[in-house]
Amino acid sequence: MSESFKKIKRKQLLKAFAFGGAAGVCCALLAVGIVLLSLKLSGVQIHFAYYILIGAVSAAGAGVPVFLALRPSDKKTAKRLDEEFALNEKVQTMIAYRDSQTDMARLQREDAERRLSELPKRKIGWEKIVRCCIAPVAALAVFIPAVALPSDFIPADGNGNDDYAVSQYQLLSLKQLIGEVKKSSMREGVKTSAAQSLQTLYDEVSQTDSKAYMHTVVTNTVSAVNTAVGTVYTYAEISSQLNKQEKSKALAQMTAEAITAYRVGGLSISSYDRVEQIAAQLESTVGARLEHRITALRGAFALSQAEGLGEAVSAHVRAIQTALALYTGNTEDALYLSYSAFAETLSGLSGMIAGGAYKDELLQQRLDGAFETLKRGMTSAITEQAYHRMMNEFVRNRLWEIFEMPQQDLPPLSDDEDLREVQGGSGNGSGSGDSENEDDNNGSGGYGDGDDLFGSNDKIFDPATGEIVDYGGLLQSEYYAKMKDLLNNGDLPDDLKQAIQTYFDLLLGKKNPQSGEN
Amino acid sequence: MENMERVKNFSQSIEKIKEEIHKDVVGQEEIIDHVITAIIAGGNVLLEGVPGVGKTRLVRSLGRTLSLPFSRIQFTPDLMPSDVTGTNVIEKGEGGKMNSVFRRGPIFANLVLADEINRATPKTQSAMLEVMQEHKVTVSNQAYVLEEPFFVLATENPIEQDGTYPLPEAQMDRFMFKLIMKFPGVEELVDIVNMTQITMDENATPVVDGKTILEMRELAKGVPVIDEVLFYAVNLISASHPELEKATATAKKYIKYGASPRAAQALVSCAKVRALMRGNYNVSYEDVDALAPAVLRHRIKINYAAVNDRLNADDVIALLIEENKKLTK
Repeated sequence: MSESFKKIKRKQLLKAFAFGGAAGVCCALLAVGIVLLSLKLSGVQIHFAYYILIGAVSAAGAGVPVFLALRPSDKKTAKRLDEEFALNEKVQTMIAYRDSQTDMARLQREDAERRLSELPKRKIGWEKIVRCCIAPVAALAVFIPAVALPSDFIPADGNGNDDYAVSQYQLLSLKQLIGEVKKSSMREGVKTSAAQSLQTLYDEVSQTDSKAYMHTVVTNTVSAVNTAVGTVYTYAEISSQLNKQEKSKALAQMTAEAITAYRVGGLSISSYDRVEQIAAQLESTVGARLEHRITALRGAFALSQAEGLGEAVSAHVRAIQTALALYTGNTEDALYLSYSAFAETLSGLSGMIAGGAYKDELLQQRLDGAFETLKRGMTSAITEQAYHRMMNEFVRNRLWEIFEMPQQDLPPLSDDEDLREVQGGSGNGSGSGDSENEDDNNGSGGYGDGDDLFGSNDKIFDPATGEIVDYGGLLQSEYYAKMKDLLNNGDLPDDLKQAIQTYFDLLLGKKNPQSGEN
Repeated sequence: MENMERVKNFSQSIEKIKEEIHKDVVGQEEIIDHVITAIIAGGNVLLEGVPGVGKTRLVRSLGRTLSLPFSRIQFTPDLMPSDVTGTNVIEKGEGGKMNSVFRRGPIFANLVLADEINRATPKTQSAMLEVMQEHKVTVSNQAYVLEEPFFVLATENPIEQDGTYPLPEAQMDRFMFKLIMKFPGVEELVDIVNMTQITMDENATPVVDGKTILEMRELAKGVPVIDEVLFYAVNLISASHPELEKATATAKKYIKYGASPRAAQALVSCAKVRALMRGNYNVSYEDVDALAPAVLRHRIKINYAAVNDRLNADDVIALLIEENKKLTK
């Protein structure tokens, strides 16, 4: 084999190694640079070993094919030489006939060898150098900025940065909240479950560095507490079933309104002090709220036997019993038992009325007693449920505050929908079944005859719920409760307190404006 | 060793031949090159040119240079085959005995100029072409082998259309080359006039002989050809057939009939000679490209599309070569 040819081929091999290596390095730098830059800009971090892997795979993926493509074989080298130096296929013929011993073949080889030895040394032009530098420069242009870019390049703007670190304040507040839940008056099982959920939250936020994850665990905790507290609610289903029967709609609305008796003054419940403050008066607030509805309901039975008292009682008994029969919850529940006892009492009365042996006065007394018993039972039962609801709302609001969650992401309470469904008929509930007396549609305000106690369908903004509600409903619940709260706890002169009480009584029809009596 | 010397001297011998010929013929380098190539390769040449461009002078000069007997046959419509090959005549021998003696025709020479071959009848043409192919004459069942090297340079006059019998394609195929002898340029014509004003004598002197030509022929056969170049040459011939898969776009558009396998043989044989003539010891793509027009122009038939596009056979061959380069290199 021609020595010149061997020398040239060796150079070609070295060139193939060099280009293959350069291609591999460039590709590795480019790939690592692109991945590093992308991850830094999106705030994601991966282990250093992955970068090495990416670089190695890219280097092999680019370097090996380049080397194989440039790796010289005798034929390829010969062809390249013939084409580059216009040797008229001398070198290729020399290679093809290297083993031939004919005179012509030997002469041909000598001729080719002579031409190869006379080949001029190639000068590498500037153009070629510049072309060869393009790939490394491009790779470095990506790699260097990617490495130089700080890891926290993307600032925390709430619009994409996921970096999170729990603050001392948050941990302390959370700890405090757990303590408050534990010392609350919720049922033991509910208390334990809620505290456990909050403790889990405490552990998770202490470890996570992802804001998105923090949001998720906080929301999950609210749901978990919601679920735990929800086990206490029976009012939702009871009032829902009562609401389906025409004659027991008033009872349903009364129940739903009483549950939110803790929302006094429209203030958000986000401090335990507030919770304790409300809890101290909760029973009387609930009782006060119930009293008006019960009074109105009682009014539907202010009839003589001749006027259809029997029918009124029977109708109500049927409605309540039907609703309670459809109820699927705990039948040992206090609220259920209250309604059940009330229905039983009414049922007994109905029997008495049917027997026709009793005077109206006795029957009315018996009715008074039944309603009084109902009120006591409901007050106790609803107070407990209202308290739990209040605690649920408190935990939810407090967590939102501690972790500065967006208000629009605040999840509703689990029974909000049920409540809305029942309260949607407020102001239209009828105790007597006389639905023709609709004298409150003229929007003139005040109250009039008939079933609608307030005679008004004016709407007003409820600060506690943020909804537009009937004025009458708000008056008898929120406003009245607030008034009672202030009268009981405020430092007002007695005569002023009396005046205020009388004003509300007049508004709520407890007193006849002419006679001043109830 | 002796062979190596001969190989090394090959191109020098060719240069000497050309130098001698140029003493009598002005210009026409390419024609002279091709003619010498054909002689060494063992083929015949069809020369097309108007009267007076030096066809006869070329062959005569060639004969003198190569020390080869030369004859000229002027073909006319009344020329008989026996006028070309020779015939048996009855002669009175010694003792008054009548003997049949074969009188050799003008074909019995090493170099034959068959002038205006297309004027002869097909019968005479075929007799001539048979001799060209077999290098022997058969008369009355007696075969007379012609002495090697045997070379025929046939001419066709392009301007004389009346009274001619064009050679059919199958007969044309027996010519290794078809060369077009162009009218000399102004400067060449000036040289011709100047030279012939001084003397009309032919001054070429012998530099080689027939034996040397045969040796050169043998030497040329041994020139190596790599597979790529061989494939390149063969592919060029295949590409000229429009009905074949390998046909190029040009062939499909402009060619009616493609070249025969003899074209491939001629191309490679002549490429070897050409390589040696240039002092190379291998055949290159350039050798094939340079010889392709001469080998193919009388072997392919262009169609009306080519005529319509004002393309002649050489134009079509040039396109074929370009396409072949793209396909095979």
